[in-house]
Amino acid sequence: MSPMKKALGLVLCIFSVFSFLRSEYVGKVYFRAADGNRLKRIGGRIEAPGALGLSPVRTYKESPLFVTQAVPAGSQKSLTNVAGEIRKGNLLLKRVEIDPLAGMEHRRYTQYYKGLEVLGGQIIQHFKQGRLVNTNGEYYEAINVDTTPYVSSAIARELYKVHLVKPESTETKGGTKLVVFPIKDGEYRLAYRVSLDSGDTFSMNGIIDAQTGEVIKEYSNINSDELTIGLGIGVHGDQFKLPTTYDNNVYKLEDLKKARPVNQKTYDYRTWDGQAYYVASDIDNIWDEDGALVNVHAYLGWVYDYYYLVFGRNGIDDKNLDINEVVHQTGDTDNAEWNSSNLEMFFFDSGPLGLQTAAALDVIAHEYTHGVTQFTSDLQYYCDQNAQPGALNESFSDIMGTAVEFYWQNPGEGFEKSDWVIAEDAYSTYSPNNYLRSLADPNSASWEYQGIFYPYPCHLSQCVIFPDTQEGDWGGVHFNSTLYSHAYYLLSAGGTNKVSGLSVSGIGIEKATKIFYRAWTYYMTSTADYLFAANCLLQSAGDLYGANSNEYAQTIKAMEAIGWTIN
Amino acid sequence: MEKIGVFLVSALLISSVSVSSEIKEPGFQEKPAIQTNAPRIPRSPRISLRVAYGVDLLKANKSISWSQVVYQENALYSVNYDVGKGQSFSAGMGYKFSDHLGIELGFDSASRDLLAENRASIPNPLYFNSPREADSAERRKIQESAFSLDLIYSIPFGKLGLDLYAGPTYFSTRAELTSAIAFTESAYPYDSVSISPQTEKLRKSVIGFNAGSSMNLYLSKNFAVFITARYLWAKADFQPSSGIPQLNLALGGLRLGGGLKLVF
Repeated sequence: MSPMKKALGLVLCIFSVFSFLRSEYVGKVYFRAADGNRLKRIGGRIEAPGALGLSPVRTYKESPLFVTQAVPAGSQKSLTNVAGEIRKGNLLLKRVEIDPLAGMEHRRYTQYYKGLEVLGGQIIQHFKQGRLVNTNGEYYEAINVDTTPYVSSAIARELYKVHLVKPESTETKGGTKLVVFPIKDGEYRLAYRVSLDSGDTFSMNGIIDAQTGEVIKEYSNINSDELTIGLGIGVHGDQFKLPTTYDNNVYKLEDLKKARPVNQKTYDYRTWDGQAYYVASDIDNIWDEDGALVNVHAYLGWVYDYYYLVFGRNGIDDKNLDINEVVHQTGDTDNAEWNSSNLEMFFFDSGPLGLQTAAALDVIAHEYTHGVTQFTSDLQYYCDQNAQPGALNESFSDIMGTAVEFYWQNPGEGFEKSDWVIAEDAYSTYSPNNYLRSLADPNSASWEYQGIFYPYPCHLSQCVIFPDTQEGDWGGVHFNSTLYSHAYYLLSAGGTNKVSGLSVSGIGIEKATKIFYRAWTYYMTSTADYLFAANCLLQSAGDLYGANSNEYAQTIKAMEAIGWTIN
Repeated sequence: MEKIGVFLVSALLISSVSVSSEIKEPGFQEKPAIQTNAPRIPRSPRISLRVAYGVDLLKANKSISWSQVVYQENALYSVNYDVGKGQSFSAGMGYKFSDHLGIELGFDSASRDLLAENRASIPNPLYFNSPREADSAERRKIQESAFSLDLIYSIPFGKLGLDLYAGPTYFSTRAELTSAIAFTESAYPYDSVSISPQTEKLRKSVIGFNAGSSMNLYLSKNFAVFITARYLWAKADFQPSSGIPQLNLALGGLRLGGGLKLVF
């Protein structure tokens, strides 16, 4: 043998061995035979089943996916010779998915007909340790479609736009594609798949017949099982995420246990038809026209979250009672309310002060907390010489309103900032002097009764019992609330009481809130008075931090600062 | 790859023994210019075959990132690819026009580690500016085949011979890249997310170049061992079908290795 021949032989030997070792598993494809009962192995080098006389077969027992494979008799859908179809270019690898849990690799092929994707035609091969163990999917056979479109893609797009609820929708990236669309067994149409959207919450696919322009089918790209999150612009221009529900072609301001484990519905009182009002709705889930609705829906979610995250509390009743709120209630009053009968919150449109209470996070948390109180201590809504449960009730709502504000907002001046005053965000313009009550300096605001302005109390000696009428604030439930909300401020931030001159070193708002929350929800009774409340607080502080702790000592100081003598 | 190397080395050793035995056949005549019995540098043989095994020395790092609106906010995704060291096998067949000049058709196959670090920052469904972070890392491979046509300049030094070569290279590369990153999130209050990258095997063929040198030590008239340093280079853009940004990778790199050579 000549050196040249030897050399060539050696090179061929090297390359053949090398290429053999490098060969892929593409040649080891199992396919479903026509008899439907066995999987036969073919290979890249074994051109026909059984060519080596081995005919390795596998039964369905080793291929559980086939057992459940729904290929109805007579259907045009079937599994086919995968390897052959890949070679012909009728199946193109679309995706390889790694399945670390099962240690598998799944290769997903898309079916093509004369270069056009056949919608729904997919074959998936399942590999384990590089070895094909299963194949499933749907393959459309006997397709016979004229692939020449008579309608252009631009016209198809326009036809679909006209068909849509939102004709201003625009084409998504790569949004129009000529495809083969199976209508039913054995029938196919040449069609455009047109994908249009408008914003992030409206996205539709339309199948437009490429011969006639008919809209054959359409479906949304928005998966209704996923969270539907809208974008809202609040009263003061801030953006909020809004859990909403897509229903009947509109988005509704309601979250039916999807984003949060509680049903929340925000009603628009202006929809009142004499019998009911309805959940607010929007066409595109961009809520940019009514800040009050946005603020209430978003903020009540935040309040729910605060109670859950800080105290592990599941909603108003700790059993995820539905949160129902009504916005734009009329009545010419600067007010918001918790209706203990209907278990609903109401937020009124502006009264004499021009307040939009829906815009204030502390107000919304305040009303929600009335509900919490109803399902815990159930402090009754009155205030007299014998008991002041109504004042304690209002006090707790201001305390928790402030705590929620500090939890979600940054401290500072201006809208959407946390501070020690109530309802500052309800005003149309920000001013440090615009608020209803102050926890830091209760005396800085007044309650008017029969033409006389009474400074809100910061000390027991300043408390006043008014008549048990609406004008008299039901004995002064709001008026006298600042006694304990001021104590909360002193315990949280530290300070000196204006009347007693006694100082308290703040232990921080988180610890102070826990002491008050436990006292009000676990120890308080429905007809508690001021003294009972002080004892509840000491008990709570002792439980949480111990009788020898600084927290307990400062709680005592806070009580002394507002007028109590501790023995 | 190591098995291939062992196989080829064995094959060549057997082949060289066979060739050596032919040297002793009566018909063979040594050239008069060579006075000693020591192996000499062949000047007249024109055909050469070589095989080599080597390592890729240069590492590379590339990142891609993209964003997508999730929950009314941008979710940020990134994949950082660390292309690590690898092993290579090469073979070639050369032809000399003269004592100094020749050409060689060579084939290189390399497999390099590819560490894909996938990261995602997924917005919270309920609040702005409260993203949840997640990452994952996967070891994959880049398979690279390169066919080179080189011009060789040889400089003999006694038993030694230095080959300098350079020429165009056709690269065929296959890499498994991240094509998308899906996320799943924990239930309310949505504290955490986990990600599962989807991958796609992409092929890319590009033209580049290579250059290098080999130092040959002739153990017999027809057989030599050599060490080689070769630099191969090409740029390849891998575009996943999902539409995420393409990955621009520099192929090849510096490969050091050694091998066996037969000349005829």
